Amino acid sequence: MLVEVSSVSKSFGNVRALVNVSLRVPPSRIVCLVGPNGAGKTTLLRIIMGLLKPDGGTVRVFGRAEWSTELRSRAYYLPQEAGLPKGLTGREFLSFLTKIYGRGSVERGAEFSNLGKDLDRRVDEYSTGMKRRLLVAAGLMLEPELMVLDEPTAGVDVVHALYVREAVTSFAREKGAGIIYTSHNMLEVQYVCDEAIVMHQGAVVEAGAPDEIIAKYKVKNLEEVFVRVVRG
Amino acid sequence: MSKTLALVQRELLSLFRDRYVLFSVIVAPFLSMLLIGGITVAAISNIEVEQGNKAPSGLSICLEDPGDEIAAEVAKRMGAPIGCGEARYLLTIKEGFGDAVERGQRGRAVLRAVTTNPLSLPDATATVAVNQLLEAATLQVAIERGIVGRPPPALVEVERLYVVRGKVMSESVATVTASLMYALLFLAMLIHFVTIQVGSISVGIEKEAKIAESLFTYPLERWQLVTGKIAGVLATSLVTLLSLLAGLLFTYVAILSQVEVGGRAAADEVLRILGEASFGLPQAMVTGAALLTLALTSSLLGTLFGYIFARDIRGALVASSYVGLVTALPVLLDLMLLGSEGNPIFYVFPIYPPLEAIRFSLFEAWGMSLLSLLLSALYALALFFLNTKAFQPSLIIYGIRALLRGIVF
Repeated sequence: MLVEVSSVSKSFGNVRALVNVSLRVPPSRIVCLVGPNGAGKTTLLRIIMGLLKPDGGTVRVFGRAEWSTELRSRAYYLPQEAGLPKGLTGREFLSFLTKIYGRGSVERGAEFSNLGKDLDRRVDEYSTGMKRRLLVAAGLMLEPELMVLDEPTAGVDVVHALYVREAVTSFAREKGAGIIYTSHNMLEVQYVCDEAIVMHQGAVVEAGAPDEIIAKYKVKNLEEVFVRVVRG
Repeated sequence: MSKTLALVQRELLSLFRDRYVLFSVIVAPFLSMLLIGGITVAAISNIEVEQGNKAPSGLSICLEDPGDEIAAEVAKRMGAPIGCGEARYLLTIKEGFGDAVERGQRGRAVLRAVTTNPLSLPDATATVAVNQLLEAATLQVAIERGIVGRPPPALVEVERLYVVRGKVMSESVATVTASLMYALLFLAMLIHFVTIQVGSISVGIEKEAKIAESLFTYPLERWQLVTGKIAGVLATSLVTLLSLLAGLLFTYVAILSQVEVGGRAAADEVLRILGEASFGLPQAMVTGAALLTLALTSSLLGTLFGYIFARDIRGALVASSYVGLVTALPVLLDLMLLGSEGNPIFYVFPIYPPLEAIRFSLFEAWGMSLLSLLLSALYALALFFLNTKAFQPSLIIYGIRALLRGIVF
């Protein structure tokens, strides 16, 4: 198991961000977290990545309770508001990451990003979508065993979002990587995810394959499930 | 090691592709040194430091106790007119001067420069020259009167000041020494100020670009992250230093060498001073070590300020400007009050030969660093009591721990 989260809770002052959340991510599987803003998705991802400590419960990544440099080299995290180092070109950023991770090919990253000549422009000049594409491509280039992608297609246009989804899906299938994916686009979740975990007010309210959840709620798509869950 | 180098490379690319940083570390330091060169030339042109035993023109010596034989003899040797009336530079030899000298203690004298501009460089250099002249004349009188045993502390220093050469003071030394000291102080101040800003901005860039969170999830040890950052800032600081030295070299070689003071090229005198032994090493090396120490301290401080205060680039700029300016105040104050009786440092280091100037630069550099630390601690405390969101204890603890590990490494 790549990630095992058991009964994790987290509060910020009086706000309960996570309540008794559990999930498991095996290899070759894409697990999606969905839910309205403030549902606790990002908090959960930050706890998984060791950036926040839970108040209760346990988190094991690669079977270990603590992150180490060696474990970090096997994972890649794309935060929701991730930026890029100012002043660098897209290609220089990819090159920087290959040095930090000690593996990966810049050309492969360039191919994944689909940025063409823009790759030699400074990242300061990139649009939000271009930045997200570069950051996802960087992750794919490094071929990690675990990818944690917080809204990877936010701000990406329809065509490129489709491209990102396909690249991530085939990466999981071909390389056997486990992926945790968050999105507000329910069609995307239906398309990408093997398992969807619906969160609301810090708790998991539904979990399972998107088709199973849709069948359970007797609705047409995941969007309707989402609306029903949020409206109670 | 390759990971740390990659971090340093990324840091340098980020910094040197920022226009503000580029201007701050290369253009501004070079220009500032040229400016100092220009002022120095003006100072030398405006001040008449004459050869031999003569004092700067405009100096008048007032004897508080006309019956003090030693004081009268010293005044005579200084070669300036005696009188307590209006004078551009009025040196008052205080009562008890002779007694003090006889006891092997320091005699007291007060120099008042009549000026409308407290920042006037010619006045400041003239007061240094007068001070040296007084010390030298006192030494000569003391030697002639056979006052031996425990010599007055300041007079021991005078020996190194080219006194016992058959002349009271070596021509050009006063002005060049003073201007060299000005240049060093400005240099130290600029290095301190620019480096603190660059360190802080470097963290500000990281926070504004929202890459800090990603960085923490890369396969990097914390010490590598911090070492990479500090090394990048330090490298930038060294570029500033090189730019300053280039400006200084240009000033002294191209501008100052054209100026002759007392029949000698001023630049030659500077080179001779820099080649003199100090702490068993050439003066230039000691100066270099002092400046490198300052660059390192300021890099650490700048980065620490960044972690504590900077939420974005603008915040980094404001915080580091404030802290940099406040901590540079002692130097500014010294420059403003140099040679005047209002400057307490004047009584501690009444003579400004190169050695003292450099020791003093070191002292001020470390003093500035300590003051910076104190200010940051006070600021953090204030934020803590105000309970603002700007205060992030975990970030401060992280910053300090990471810095300590970086230093140990």
